[in-house]
Amino acid sequence: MGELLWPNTDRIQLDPDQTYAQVTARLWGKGLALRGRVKGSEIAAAQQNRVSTNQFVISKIDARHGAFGIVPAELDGAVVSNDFPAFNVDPDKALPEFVAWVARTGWFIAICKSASEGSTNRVRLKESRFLAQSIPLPTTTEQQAIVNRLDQAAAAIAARGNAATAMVSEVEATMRAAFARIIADAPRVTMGEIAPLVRRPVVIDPAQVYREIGVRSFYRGLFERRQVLGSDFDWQKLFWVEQGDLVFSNLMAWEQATGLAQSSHAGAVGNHRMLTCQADSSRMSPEFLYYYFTTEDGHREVLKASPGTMVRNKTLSTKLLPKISVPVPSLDAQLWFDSLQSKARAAKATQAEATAHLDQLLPALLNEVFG
Amino acid sequence: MARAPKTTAPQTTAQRLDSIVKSARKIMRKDKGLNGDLDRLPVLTWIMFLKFLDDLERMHQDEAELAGSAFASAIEPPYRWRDWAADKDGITGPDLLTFITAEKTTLPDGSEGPGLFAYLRALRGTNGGRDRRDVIATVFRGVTNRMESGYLLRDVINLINAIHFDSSEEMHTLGRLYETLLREMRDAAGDSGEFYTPRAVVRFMVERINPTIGETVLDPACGTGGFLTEAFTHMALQADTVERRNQLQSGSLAGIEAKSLPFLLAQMNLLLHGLEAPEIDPGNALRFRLTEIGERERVNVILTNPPFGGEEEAGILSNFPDDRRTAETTQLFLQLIMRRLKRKGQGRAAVVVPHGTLFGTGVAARIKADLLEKFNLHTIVRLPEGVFAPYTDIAANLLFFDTTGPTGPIAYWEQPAPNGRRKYSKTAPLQSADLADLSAWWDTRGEDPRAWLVDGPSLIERDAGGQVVAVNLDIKNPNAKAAEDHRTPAEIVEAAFTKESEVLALLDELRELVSQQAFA
Repeated sequence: MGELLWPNTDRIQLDPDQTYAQVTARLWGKGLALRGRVKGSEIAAAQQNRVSTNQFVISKIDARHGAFGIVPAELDGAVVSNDFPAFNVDPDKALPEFVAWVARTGWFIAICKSASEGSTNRVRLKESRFLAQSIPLPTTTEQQAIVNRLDQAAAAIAARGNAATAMVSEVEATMRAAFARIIADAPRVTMGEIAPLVRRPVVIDPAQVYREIGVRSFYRGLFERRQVLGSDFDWQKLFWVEQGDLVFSNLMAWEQATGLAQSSHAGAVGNHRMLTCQADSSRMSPEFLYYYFTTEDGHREVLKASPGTMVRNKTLSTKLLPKISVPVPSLDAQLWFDSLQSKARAAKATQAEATAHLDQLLPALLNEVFG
Repeated sequence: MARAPKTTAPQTTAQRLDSIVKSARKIMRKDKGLNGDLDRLPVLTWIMFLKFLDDLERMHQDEAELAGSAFASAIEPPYRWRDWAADKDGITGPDLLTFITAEKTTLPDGSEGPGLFAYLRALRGTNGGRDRRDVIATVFRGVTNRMESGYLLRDVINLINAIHFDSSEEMHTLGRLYETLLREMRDAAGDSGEFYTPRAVVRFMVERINPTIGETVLDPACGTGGFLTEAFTHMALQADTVERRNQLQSGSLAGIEAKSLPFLLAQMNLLLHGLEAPEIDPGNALRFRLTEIGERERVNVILTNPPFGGEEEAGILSNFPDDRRTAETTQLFLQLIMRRLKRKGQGRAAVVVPHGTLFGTGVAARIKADLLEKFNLHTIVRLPEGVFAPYTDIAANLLFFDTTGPTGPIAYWEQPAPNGRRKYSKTAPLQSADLADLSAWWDTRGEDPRAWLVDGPSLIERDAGGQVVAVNLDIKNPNAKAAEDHRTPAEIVEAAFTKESEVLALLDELRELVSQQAFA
């Protein structure tokens, strides 16, 4: 690698009044990025190294975590500290783009790892050892072909990713529009009437193991916090959770910690902070009710019922919650909306699977090219 | 729905203690001399220590009276808890502060004498022997009173006075309570390479090493005494005769801790667990010349988690051979541990080391070569990231070795990351149950995707002159490769394509649904 990369240090004295761009190397082969633009006076060091386009820059500290890359055109003239040595790539031997791709492979990271040394938290790349390593280098024509192929694949994957995101937001917009339609002239009923707070106290058996659930914020649903032996509970009061319960975490409801208990949560327990509301199944579908609380309107109602000022005091009041009024269209309409939702969910989930497959594509291509 | 009538269950001991400690901290929060838990805990500790000692002495006194033998109290009146603290309307305010901190003062009984701390620091064992008095003296040499208000201090003392250390049930729960206190304090620590070892890891190491009565156990970087208390509890189960109990109490456990607060906490922690005169050395474990450590200082069992990446002054480094000096404290401790183990199969050790130790070259390689050539490094357990959260995310390893001879095959075990999460964290730490599979595998050493064998001697790489160049113990699990995606790019695109067409089909159904006349 020493034949390919020449150390190039362009040391400059910083002018306190001038603005400099700083470079950061992102981990795991994601390349270089702009860290920020700051005045010379804000940089602690008096001198820094200037980098220019197509140089290879490596972070001594995080090289073993894949922090390196080729300087893109927009970072030309940016400054880095001494912990980021810059190298010129020999134009007769390799294309900078090719080096950039090589640097994204797992074995390149392995090379950097083995060229690093130092004690815990001070492990740094040793330049001489790094430059003594060797990498396979085809002719520049072949390199160009490889770069073209990989660039095209990466561009296609990125474009597909954007399309996928757009599709998801369109589906979500469809849901919102459909929901707005069916609640347009639906009567409003209070939670206390249609989905009252139901608490089912658990008599704790010291010998039994309980599955305790919690609710994640930002509508990320219920999760199993832990399995606890009855004897390990000291002050907590526990309540049973049933499938179809709408569960609010009274502490974090303001941060959208609301979830719907699925069949897998039946028979689990929640502590007194988990407010479980059970919908009257003859008039209200739990899924529909849950969707209402994920809408802006529904969330505003929850915020209104959480009157505290400070974050940790913003608890959802058990007195105000039953007073929240929710739209109740005909049960048929609700069920129709539920089936819409489940299709939309399936579409999103399947698309996520496709994305997961495609995430493997670039590593597989790199593996094919560089073995 | 009608609310069920509220029932107030009687508080358990644990709950009562918990509430006492909580109110004590609430009181201390008002004192201007204390900043944060790191200041409050020592205050709580020394007050609890004195109360505990007094209860213990009273118990011993009663026993001695029943047996008809004489009893000499470690602390004389009027310095005993019952003399100055037990009466809740006793001395308070500035008087209390002077009594505690002054060198010379008027004592509660009217006579002149040294203040409480001055008295306690001057205590010595009788006839030159080491006993409880020396422990008290060493503990109080490290204690200063930081509270500015004597009235608040009196309130705290009155609260602690309500804890009764003489009932065995409270003793037991207090041990647990104390650990939770320690844990809270640790959240404020974690600097300077002190990473307190999670309980599950400590317990696992003690159980696997299995120290027995008659053996000596050492932790050269004992911190708050986690390994020692766990080892003591483990060994106490074997103490079925008076003789064995005495053997356990005298000199089976020793620790070294250079920092004063952990030192004090370790003393207290061990006392609470039932070890009456803990032998904790309040100095730097590395202060002795390595070559001067002889058979007399050797022990059977070493259990420890040395500081990672700390630094030592130059004078300390000169205690080590020229080619074995390094800034990494873990490496220095490893050498100390190897030196202090009893030879000829009599010694065994379990040590926590960071990943860097396994792949380190240079000095680290030479130390590892020593380990492989002179010791039997039989097992390495690789722990995932976050086990030491919140202090550090460094992934660590447990090394198990003994002095039965040079290393043959090394058994590796890779503890996987927790189910469904990327790593362990402060709020979801490693639990003992997570290590159950490892414990089951330990004795049988059967086939397991998480375990593999490596030939030890072949790991030592030498240059032409016979010098050790590298010893790479950082070996990846060969079974883990199966989990990698080995599909060709074409197969991957195909799979993605199938999924995308399913998405299209679903969108089609969605279109069908939204166009239903009834609702649209």
